Amino acid sequence: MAGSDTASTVTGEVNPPGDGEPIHEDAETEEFDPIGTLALIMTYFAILVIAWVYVYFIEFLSRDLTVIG
Amino acid sequence: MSAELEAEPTFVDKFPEEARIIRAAMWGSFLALTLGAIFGIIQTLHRTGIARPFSSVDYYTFLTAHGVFLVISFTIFFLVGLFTWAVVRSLDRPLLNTKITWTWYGMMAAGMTMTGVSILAGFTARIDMSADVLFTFYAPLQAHPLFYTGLVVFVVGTWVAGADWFRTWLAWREENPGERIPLQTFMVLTTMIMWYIATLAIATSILVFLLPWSLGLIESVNPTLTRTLFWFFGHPVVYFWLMPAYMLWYTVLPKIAGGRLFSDPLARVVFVLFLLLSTPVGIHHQYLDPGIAEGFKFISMTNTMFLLLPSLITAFTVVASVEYGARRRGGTGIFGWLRALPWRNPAFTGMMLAGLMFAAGGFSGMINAGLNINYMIHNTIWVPGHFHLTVGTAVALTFMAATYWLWPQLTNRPLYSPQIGLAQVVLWFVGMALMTNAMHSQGLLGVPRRTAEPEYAGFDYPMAFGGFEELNLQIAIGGTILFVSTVLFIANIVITSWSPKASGLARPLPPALSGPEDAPKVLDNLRLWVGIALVLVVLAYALPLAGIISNSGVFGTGAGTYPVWIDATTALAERVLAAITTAATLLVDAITGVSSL
Amino acid sequence: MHVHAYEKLWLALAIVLILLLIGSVTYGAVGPGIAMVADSQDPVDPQALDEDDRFAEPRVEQVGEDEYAAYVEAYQFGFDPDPIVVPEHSTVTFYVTSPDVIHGFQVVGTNANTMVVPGEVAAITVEVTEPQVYGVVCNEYCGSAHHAMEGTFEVVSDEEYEEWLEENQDGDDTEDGAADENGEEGEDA
Ligand code: HEM
Ligand SMILES: [Cu+2]
Ligand SMILES: [Cu+2]
Repeated sequence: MAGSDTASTVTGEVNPPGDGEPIHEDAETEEFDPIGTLALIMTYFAILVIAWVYVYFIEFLSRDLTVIG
Repeated sequence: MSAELEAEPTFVDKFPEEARIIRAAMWGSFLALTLGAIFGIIQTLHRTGIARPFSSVDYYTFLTAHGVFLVISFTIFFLVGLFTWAVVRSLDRPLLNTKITWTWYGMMAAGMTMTGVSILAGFTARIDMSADVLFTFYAPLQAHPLFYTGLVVFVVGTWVAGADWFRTWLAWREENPGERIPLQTFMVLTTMIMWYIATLAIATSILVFLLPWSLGLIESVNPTLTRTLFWFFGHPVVYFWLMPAYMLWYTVLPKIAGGRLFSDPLARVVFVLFLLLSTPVGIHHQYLDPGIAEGFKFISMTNTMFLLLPSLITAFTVVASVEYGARRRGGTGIFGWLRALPWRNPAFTGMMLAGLMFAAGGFSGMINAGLNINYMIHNTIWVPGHFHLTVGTAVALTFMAATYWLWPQLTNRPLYSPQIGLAQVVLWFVGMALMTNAMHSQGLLGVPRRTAEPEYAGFDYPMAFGGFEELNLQIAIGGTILFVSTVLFIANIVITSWSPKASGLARPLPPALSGPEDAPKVLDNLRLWVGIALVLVVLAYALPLAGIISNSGVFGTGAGTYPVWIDATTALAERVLAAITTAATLLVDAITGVSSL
Repeated sequence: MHVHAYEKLWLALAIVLILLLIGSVTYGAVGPGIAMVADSQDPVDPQALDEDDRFAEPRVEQVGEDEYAAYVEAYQFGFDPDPIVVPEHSTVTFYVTSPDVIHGFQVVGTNANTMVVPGEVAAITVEVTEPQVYGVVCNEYCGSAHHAMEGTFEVVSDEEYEEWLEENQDGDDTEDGAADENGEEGEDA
C-alpha cells in the first residue's frame, strides 16, 4: 500500500487509475467545477422538500385522532 | 499496468500480522452476518404469515439474535478490522504491540459469545437461560446475567481497541513531529472519542443497574432511567456503524471511481461535527415517553435536525469526488458523466447503491426525527423499514462492497468472482427496495414492529398502498432476495480462500484534491473537541436525568422483575458456564485458525 | 479553508431545509396544537395500582361536558378496560400505565400513540368525531405473548352510549367482571 493518504509522502505519486481502468491523465485538478453533483443534489433537495411537505401536511396532519394535550 | 505498480506491495505484504488480525475480525463479522441473515429470513416469513415453522414465542428469540448479531457483532467486528487497517495504512507503521491487539480481539469475541449463547439458549428448555429482551433490553424485562456480562466484556474490548489505535498514533506523532494527522487516522480517532463518551452510559446502565439487578443484588430499577441511558448510547451507536461507511465513501470510493477526494478539510469538519452532535440527541428515541418533559424533547429535536448537516455535506463531497473521477475517465454532460463510471466493479456499484439507499433512508429519518410527526410512525414497522435502509444497507452493503476491494489486499488472493459480486450487490439493492418500501407503507397503516403475528382478531387495517396482505408479500419476496444475496456474498469470500495467490493486488489511495494543508490546524486539536463534546452532553442530559430521578427516584417507584429466564440451579449454572468457556475458546481458535487461510 | 462555491450554495440550502423541518414541527405544535406526551402526571407504584384512585378501577369517566377520561391499564397481555367506549364528538384523555413491563398503546392507523412505562402515567388527549371502531395494539415488545396484546377503542353514537352505560351500570362489579375475562394477572403482579 502507499503510505499515508494525506501526509507528505505521496506528492510524487502518479495518480493511479481507478482499479486498473483507463484514465484521461490530463484532467484538470484545481478548477474542477462539480456541476453534475450540483444538478443531482438540487434534484435530491427538491424531492426532499416536496416529500416532506406532503407527508407532514397531508399525510400526518389530516390523520385521525391528533394528540392535542 | 506498469511493472512498478505490479511490484507495489499489498497491505498483507507490508503488515502480515496486522492483516491476520483484520481478517480475524472480519471473519467474526461475516459469521454474525450469516447467522443474522438466517434469522432475518425466518422472521420475514413468520411475521408475514407465509411460513411459520417455529412458534411465535421463539420469534422473539430470533428477533433478539437478529438484532444483536447484526447491529452489535456484524457491524462492530467489521469496524475494528477496518479501523485497524485504516490506522496502520494511513500512518504507514505497524501497531505498537499486537499482543494487545489480540487481547481486545479475544475480549470482544468472548463477550459476544457469552451474549450470543445466552440468547440462543432461549431455544431450548433444557437450559434455564434465555435473553429474549431484544437488542434494546428495556427493563423491567430481564435477561440472564450472562447476557449483560457478555455485553460489558465486549464493550471493554472495544475500549482497549481504541486505546491501541491511539497509542499507535501517538507513537507515529513522535516519529513525525508537526505533521497533520492523516485523514483516515483522524476519522478513526474522532469516531472512537464519540464511542468512549457514548459507551459510558451503557456501561453505567449495565454495571450499576441491570447486572446487579439480574443477579438479585438490587430489587428494582427505574425503567425510564435505564431506557434513557440506553438511548444516550443508542443514538451515537448509529453513527458508530455509519462512520466506517463514511470513511470508505470519503477515502476509498473516489479512488475506485478513478478520482480522488474533493476536500480533505471538509471531511475533517464532518467527523468533528459527528463527534460533537451525535450524543446530545438520544432523547429523540423517547419522544413518546411519558417520563420526560416536552421541552427536553424539543431541544433534542433541534440538535437532531442540525445533525443532518454533516450528512448533507457528505452527500455533496462524496458525489463531487466521484464526479471528478468520471470526468477524468472522459465523462461529459450534466448527467452524462454518470455513464463513465465503473459500474461493472462490484465495490463501486455496491457503495453507490448503498449511498443511494442512504439518501432515501435520510428522508424517513427526517420523519422519525420530527417531534410530533413521530406519533404517526413510532414503533410501527416503518421504523425497521427506515433502519434497514441505513444500517441494513448504507452500512451493511458498503461493508460488503468494500470487502470486495479490500479482501484481496489482505490475502493476496484475487476475488473468486467479481461477476457474482456485482449480482450480489444489485440483488441486495432490489431486495431491500422491496422490503423497506413495503415496511414503510405498512407502518403508515399502523402495523406494529417487533410482533410475531401482526394480524389481529379484533380489527382490520385500513386499505391503502395495496393493503396489508399484499405488502406482506412484498416484504417476504424482498427478504428472500436479501437472504440469497447474503449467501452469495459469504460464498464468494469463502471460495476466495482457495483462489491461488497473485501479485499486483495493491490499490494505493490518492491524496485529496484540496489537501490537509488547506484545513485549519484547530481541526486536529482533539482535546478541544473532547471538551466541547462533553459540555454539549452535559447540557443536553443533566436536566432530563435530574428530572427523571427527582420524579421517580434512582431505582424507580417499585417496578417488578420480569425475567424472561428461569433461575438456574447453581450446579446447572456451573455446567453451563464451563460449556460457554469451552465454546468461547473453540470459537476464538476457530476464527484465528480460519483467518490464517 | 477553501470551499467550492457550489458547496457553499448547498450548505445554505441544507440550512434552509433544517429550518423548514423545525418550522413545520413548530407549526404543528402551535397551529393544530399538537402536544407531546410528557411528564405531566404524578408517578405511580406499578405494583400498587389498586391503591391509586386513577387505576384502582380502570374505566372511562365523564369529566365535563363532552369530556371523558379513560384510565387504562396496559398489562401482560391485554388492555383494561377493553373495549374502551366513548360517545361521538367528544374529547377523550387516555391515562395509560403499566403494572408490569414497558408496553405501547396505539390506536391503530391514527396519531394516538404512546409508550407505556411502569411507574409513569402517559396522558394523551384526542378529539373523536363520528362513530367508529378502532383497533388498539401494544406496539412495544413486552414478552412472549406480545402479539396477542390487542383491544378496541369504540366511538359510539350518543344513544348507543346510553345503552352501553345502562348495561354496564350494575355497580362497579361489572367493570371487574370485564377485567376478569382478560385475565387478572396484571393486577396481582
Ligand atoms: C437478510 C437480510 C435481512 C432480512 C431478511 C431482515 C429482516 C428483518 C425483519 C423482517 C425485521 C422486523 C422484525 C420485527 O420488527 O418484527 C428485522 C428487524 C431488524 N433488523 Fe433485519 N433483516 C435483514 C438484514 C439486516 C441487517 C443487515 C441489519 C443490520 C446491520 C438488520 C438489523 C435489524 C434490526 C436492528 C432489527 C430490529 C430488531 C428489533 O426490533 O429488536 N437486519 N429484520
Ligand atoms: Cu437516533
Ligand atoms: Cu406488547
